[in-house]
Amino acid sequence: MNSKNTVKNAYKGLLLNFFIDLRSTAIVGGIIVISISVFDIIMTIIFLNLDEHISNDGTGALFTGALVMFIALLIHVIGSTSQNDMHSKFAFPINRTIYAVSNFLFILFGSFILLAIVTILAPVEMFLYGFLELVTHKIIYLNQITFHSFLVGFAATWAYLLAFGSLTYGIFMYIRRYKLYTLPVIAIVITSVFAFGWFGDIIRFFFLEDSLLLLIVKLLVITIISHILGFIPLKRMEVQ
Amino acid sequence: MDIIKAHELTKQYKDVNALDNFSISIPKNKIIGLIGKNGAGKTTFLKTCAGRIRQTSGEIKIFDDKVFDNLNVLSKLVFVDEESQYNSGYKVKEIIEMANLYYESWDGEFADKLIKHFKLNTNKRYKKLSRGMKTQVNIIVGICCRMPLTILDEPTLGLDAAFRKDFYHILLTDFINHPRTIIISSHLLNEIEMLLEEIILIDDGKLLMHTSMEDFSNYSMMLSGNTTYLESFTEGKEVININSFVNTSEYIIKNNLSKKEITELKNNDISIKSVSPQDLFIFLTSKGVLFDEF
Amino acid sequence: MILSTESTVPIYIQIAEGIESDIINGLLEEEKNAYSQYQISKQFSINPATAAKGINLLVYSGILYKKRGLGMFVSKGAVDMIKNKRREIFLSTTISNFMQEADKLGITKAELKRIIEEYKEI
Repeated sequence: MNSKNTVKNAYKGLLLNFFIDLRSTAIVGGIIVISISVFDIIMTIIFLNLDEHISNDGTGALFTGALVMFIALLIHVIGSTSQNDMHSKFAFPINRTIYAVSNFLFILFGSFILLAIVTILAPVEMFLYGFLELVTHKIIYLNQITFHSFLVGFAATWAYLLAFGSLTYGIFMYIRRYKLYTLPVIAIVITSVFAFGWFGDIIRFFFLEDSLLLLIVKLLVITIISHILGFIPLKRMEVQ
Repeated sequence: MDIIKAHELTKQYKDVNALDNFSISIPKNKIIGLIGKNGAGKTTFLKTCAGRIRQTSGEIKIFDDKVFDNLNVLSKLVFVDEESQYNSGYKVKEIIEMANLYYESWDGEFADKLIKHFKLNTNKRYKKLSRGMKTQVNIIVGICCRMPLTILDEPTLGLDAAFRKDFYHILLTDFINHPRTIIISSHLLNEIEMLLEEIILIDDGKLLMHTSMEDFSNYSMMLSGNTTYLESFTEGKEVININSFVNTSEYIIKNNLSKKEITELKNNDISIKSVSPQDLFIFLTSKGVLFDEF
Repeated sequence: MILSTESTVPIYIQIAEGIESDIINGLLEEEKNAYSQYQISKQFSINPATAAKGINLLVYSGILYKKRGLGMFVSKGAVDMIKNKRREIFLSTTISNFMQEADKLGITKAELKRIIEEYKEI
């Protein structure tokens, strides 16, 4: 068996592994998004019965959906760095480099898939509101989102998911390796962020960036640094 | 060629040495038993061989190469854990599909045959399986990937007696058809002794003995008869265990008596018996304190 | 052939004895195929090396021989060889153990003689 094939097989197996893992997170996330949208629509119908006109920005599913998937991704990443989960992956022939690269690929494409699910749900919601408008003959104010603004939103959200997913992954690699010793370090970092008044700077740096391109570049830098730093504790980590 | 070469391997957990200066060479294409009590260091040694954990000191080479995080070596071995080792949410068929992707030498036909044989429902999730069924899935992956180094850690845990027999037969037949190095750990030697060509005894993280199964079966003998006579006869000989009752005793000693000595024993009404490997293993690792102190 | 894990007799010796018994019982015939290493191994779930060791014991004593590419064969005169060997063991060991035990239990030679003669008549 040549080693090129071995590496290829390891990537194939591990990525299948990761995406089967994603399935349950995607299903749970999707169900929560749908539930919230259904709740929204029911509320709308109730208000319509009260003879009110409703204003809805039309991005309900998109915004709440992205938020739900953001949380789902973070929980998923935390779970996937657990000893149990690593154990089940290292039961097959892989090495730590392949594991780390696959983690990056997973967070990259996994967050895309989670957002894509939300995107599919959004037009359905729009359609339902339109239908509601038609049958009740009442006006629901819907802010139509343009394709361009959708793309911008999608790209930015994807970059945020990627960066924060990766950051969580990196931090939890240290927690797995050094256990509770990591917590004081994190506490010191958080305390100094507030004590030195860096919090505002950080918010401005990442969330109030006007240029989309610059924002994405910044978030990608965070992503890459997180993965590189996350590799350090992984490199010599045992799989019990 | 030796497939595993360990030199003064030590693995420390807090203040306990799970492995203590453990040196061994394990040859190719044999079925080898790693025998020891629970907590003797079997799993620690096997996990080190499988690159799951790193030794504290010493050296281990698998296929003449380091094993920790080395894919070239890891892709030639499989380690079947005594615990459940696959992702609990996966369906059995997904685990099989993954094994198929990972292992070039995967024998899917044989896997299907074994699944049918064990009557496993492949749509069931791993976590919903009973302990025995999980073991069966682990075993199927362990056998069907046909790795040159196959490590099975207590592979029959949770299987009932009939299934265990079945498994030994399947393993042996597959070994004959596809020779490879198979290491099986167990604390029940009587159950696997027939399978083994060599036996490694481990106790307190130390290597106690590494020998062929035949030599192990002939290693010792049991003399029973008059205590006073046996006491003087065994003086200066290697005594493994003594069990006394009133004025008769059973002495387990190393089997290296001359013909003359054996005739002498017979003339003095001492009966000579061979010792089963399982009993010898218990005698060697219990140090004779088992009954006297309680 | 039957093997027993309960027995303290090592497996490879049990195999050799089992094949011998099958030869004197006529299950295996002279100049015909004997069991192969792998047949025995699969049949009884024992290590092929152990099976080979049992077979080799019989090859050394000339009871079996190997035909190139055809496997193990029972030697000509194997039945007599085994019977002679067993007769020797019977006369040297079995009888002496038997006599010793009888002596311990206070059974006289005259009594033994009578019992042996009566046994034959049954």
